[in-house]
Amino acid sequence: MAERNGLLQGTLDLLILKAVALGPRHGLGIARRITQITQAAFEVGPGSLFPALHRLEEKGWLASDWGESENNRKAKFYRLTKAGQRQLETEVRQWERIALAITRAIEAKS
Amino acid sequence: MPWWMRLRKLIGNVVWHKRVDRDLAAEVESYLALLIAEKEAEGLTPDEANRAARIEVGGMEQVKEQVREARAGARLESFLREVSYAARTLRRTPAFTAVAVLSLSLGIGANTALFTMVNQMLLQLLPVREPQQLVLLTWAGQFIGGSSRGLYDTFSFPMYQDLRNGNPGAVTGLAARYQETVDVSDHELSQRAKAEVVSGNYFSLLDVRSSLGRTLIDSDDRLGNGEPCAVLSYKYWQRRFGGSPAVLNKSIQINGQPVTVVGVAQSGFRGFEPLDPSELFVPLAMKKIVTPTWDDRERRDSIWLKVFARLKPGVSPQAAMYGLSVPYRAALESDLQANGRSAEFARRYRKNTLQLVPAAQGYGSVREFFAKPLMILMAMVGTLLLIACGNVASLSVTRAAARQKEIAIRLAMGATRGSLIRLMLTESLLIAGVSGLLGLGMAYWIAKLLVRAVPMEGLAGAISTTPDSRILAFTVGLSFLTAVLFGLLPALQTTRPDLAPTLKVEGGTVTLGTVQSRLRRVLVAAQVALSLLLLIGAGLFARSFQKLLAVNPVIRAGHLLAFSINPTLHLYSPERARSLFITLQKSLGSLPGAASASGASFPILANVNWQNGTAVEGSANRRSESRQAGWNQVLPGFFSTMGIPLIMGREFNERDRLGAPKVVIVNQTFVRTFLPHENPIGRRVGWGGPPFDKEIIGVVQDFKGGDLKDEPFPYTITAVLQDEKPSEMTFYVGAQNPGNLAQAAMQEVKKLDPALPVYDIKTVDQQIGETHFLDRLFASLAGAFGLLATLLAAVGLYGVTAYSVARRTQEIGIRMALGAARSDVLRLVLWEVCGLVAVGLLVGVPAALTLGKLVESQLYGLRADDLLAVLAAIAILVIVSGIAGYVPARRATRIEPLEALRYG
Repeated sequence: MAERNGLLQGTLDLLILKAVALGPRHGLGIARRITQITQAAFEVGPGSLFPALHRLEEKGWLASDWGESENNRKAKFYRLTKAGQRQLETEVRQWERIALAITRAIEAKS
Repeated sequence: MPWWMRLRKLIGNVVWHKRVDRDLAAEVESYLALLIAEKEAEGLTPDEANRAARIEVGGMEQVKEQVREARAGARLESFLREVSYAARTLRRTPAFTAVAVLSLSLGIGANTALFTMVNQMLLQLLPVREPQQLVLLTWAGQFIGGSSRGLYDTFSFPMYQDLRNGNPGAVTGLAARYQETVDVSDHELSQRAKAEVVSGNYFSLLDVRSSLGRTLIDSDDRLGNGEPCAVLSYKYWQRRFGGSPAVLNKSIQINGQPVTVVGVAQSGFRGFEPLDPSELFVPLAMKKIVTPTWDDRERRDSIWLKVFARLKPGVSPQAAMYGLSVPYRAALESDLQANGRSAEFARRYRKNTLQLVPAAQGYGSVREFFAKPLMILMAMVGTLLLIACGNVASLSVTRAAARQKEIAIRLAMGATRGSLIRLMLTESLLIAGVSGLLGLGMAYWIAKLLVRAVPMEGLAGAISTTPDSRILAFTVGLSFLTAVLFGLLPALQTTRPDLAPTLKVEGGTVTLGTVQSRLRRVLVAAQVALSLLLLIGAGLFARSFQKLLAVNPVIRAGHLLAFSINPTLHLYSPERARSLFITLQKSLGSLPGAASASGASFPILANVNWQNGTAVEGSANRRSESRQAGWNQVLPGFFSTMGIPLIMGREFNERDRLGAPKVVIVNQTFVRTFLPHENPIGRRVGWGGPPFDKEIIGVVQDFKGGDLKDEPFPYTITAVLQDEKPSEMTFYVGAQNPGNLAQAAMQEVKKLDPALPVYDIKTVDQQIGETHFLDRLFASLAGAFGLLATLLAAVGLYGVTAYSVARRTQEIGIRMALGAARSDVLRLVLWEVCGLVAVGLLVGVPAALTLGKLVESQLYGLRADDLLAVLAAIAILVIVSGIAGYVPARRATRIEPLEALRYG
């Protein structure tokens, strides 16, 4: 499953948590937000998105409620919980460490 | 995520999976709707938008499935789905399911029941701290009190003291115990109870606590130190005193002497031999109260104490033994000093050795007695379960054959072989699981029945039939094993990937492939072989029991009532006891319906075997100082009452009393052993050697004294009335219908002393039944197992034959059309049955003969290769197989050739 979207699972989790950090969004909204904030580097399809959403919800990082979309359609909205907020911070820190390490590794002159 | 939240999610997903699923569907729908709306907003027509959105989403169902897989409990859910699918499949073949569950639950039930007994009787450790550290002291060599040598597990009291005081730190401590039946009176009520006489450090060394009051301590065990005290076992406290705390500091009477109850031992502690439970514990200092007729605490030539020790951590029994050998050597010297023996004896006596044997389970005479019988029964029920497994496996193969088409299609559709095997194993596990559950319930009742068959009251009370964790683990393991045994082979066979031939078969008539047929044949032949084992076992035990019943005990077992009293436990002086015996004998003999009455110190045919080293003055047999001979002492008229013929001389009469010349009566084997070709009357006998103070006055025919299996053995009988300290007495009343006299006999005792308890009142026939309960149990259980096994094998054979006939309908039709007679067809089918049975017999007979050696010790009067038992088993199996094969064979002969050809 990790390779299905060319994304590591941890990366997708981070992106989802980030996408809802500013406020509740429904599934499509999250997908679009990820495309937007990654400048279309990542496109997330429903086949990866929904399992990830449900998994994150079960872990207690997301909470969901049914609500109305901007064009008055029924949709399930996901929001970040307190635990999700903490998780996001942890994952961001972790990612920064990894990114820095990888960057250094690549730039290192042999 | 905290575990409880995860658990809540998991349970929620499983329990409300419908609601969760609806929610998921709505969510994916809404995603699609939003996507369509987005496309429309981009300027696509509704139709185009719809199509584009659906292409982008991909399969809606796949998305949902992926979510389900990501959810908590996905594994569990799919497992439950598989189980419910398996249950549905099984419900479609109710006959198969019922037969499988019934035979397996019987098998598992019988196995679990037997294991319950094994667990309770062979596997329990003493409920004390670190029981693995406990060792029992035994010794090997010469006995100071006689000329015999051997291996002993009892010590004299002085020897115990020497070891304990001289312990050079080799062990943490040594404790001693001796068990005896006593009479416990509380107000009017007098009952017998098992008392354990223990050293003062007994409880502290075992680390057994009290559940009320205190346990016994060292100061209790010093003579003249305060008043006599006792600790009750928890069970006895519950049974006799209703678990009332008021029992504390209460004065009860043990053998008529006041004793204060100072405490109740921790629940579950039954003394040092858990299978012969002690009901109360008294200090060794009170030994005289427990055994009023003998003390022997001063004697170095009387061994009666069991001694055990607790090893120090990390010290081997061997090392501890070397340590203890120092005081042991010194004690041997003291023994020799106290008992003047020849220099030759002293030389040999000094070579005696001490041995420490593991005693984590406590003392185990009862355990050792039952170990082998239980293992044999366990092997029998194990075989039975194997046969049942064979049956279910064979049924499964047929059933799988009927599903061959379905399986082939599944394989063609891309199901992996593993997933199909898992599916079929799930069915097997389901069957085994249900059978295991039923078996567990059955085991509880079977075990209860087995316990009820045990005539020893203490032992029966010590066996708990309530399943514990070990029993549950056994049943679960066994169920799992059976599932693999009967499920795996058929599953592997029927999912073989060569599916093309199956799919090619037209219509619905899928038949077993040659491989499966061969598998079924092997299974049936194996069943025949295994049931032959059980049948031969049944035959052997039945014949053995029959031989036992045919034994002539010489005594008139059918016309004797027996009961016991022990007046010395009620403060009777020896003179009073003797006069009570005489008075009671007279009144019993004159009861209406009674022919005569007498009594013996040791009950007859009750597994009591007392032996003395015995010598005859001036005997030609001088090879050793003395030889072992059985011993009992009786009241006047004993032999005529019991119906034992007098060969020479006379019986005891009332003039043979204390003060008169001592007399003894011997049996024929005694004469043959000690005085061959001599007139025994008038010769003099001594215990172990001089003084030769007893004159032989009569010779009686050999009779069975201990049990029916007794081999002819020298036997001496003396007169109770010449015993200075008679104690227990078992009375025998001869009558046509002895059972009817029980009430009247008890009344007679009551008339003489209302407080004297009468116990073990039963006919001698009943007594024999109890003495030989194990033989009876073996005969009936082995018979039942053999019958069941044969039945199961017959069902298997029938199934195979019937199936083979059905498969060959067309062939048989053609044969008959071509002129084969019905008898030819019959022969054709029966020939196949014969082959299977022959293979089974060829394997089974040698196996039975080999395994038979293991049970030979339990047989009486025949060997394990007893021809009659083997032939009878073969005959039964052949006849039953014949019937099981004949029924379908007959059906084959009724095949109408035309119809067979048309509809084949």
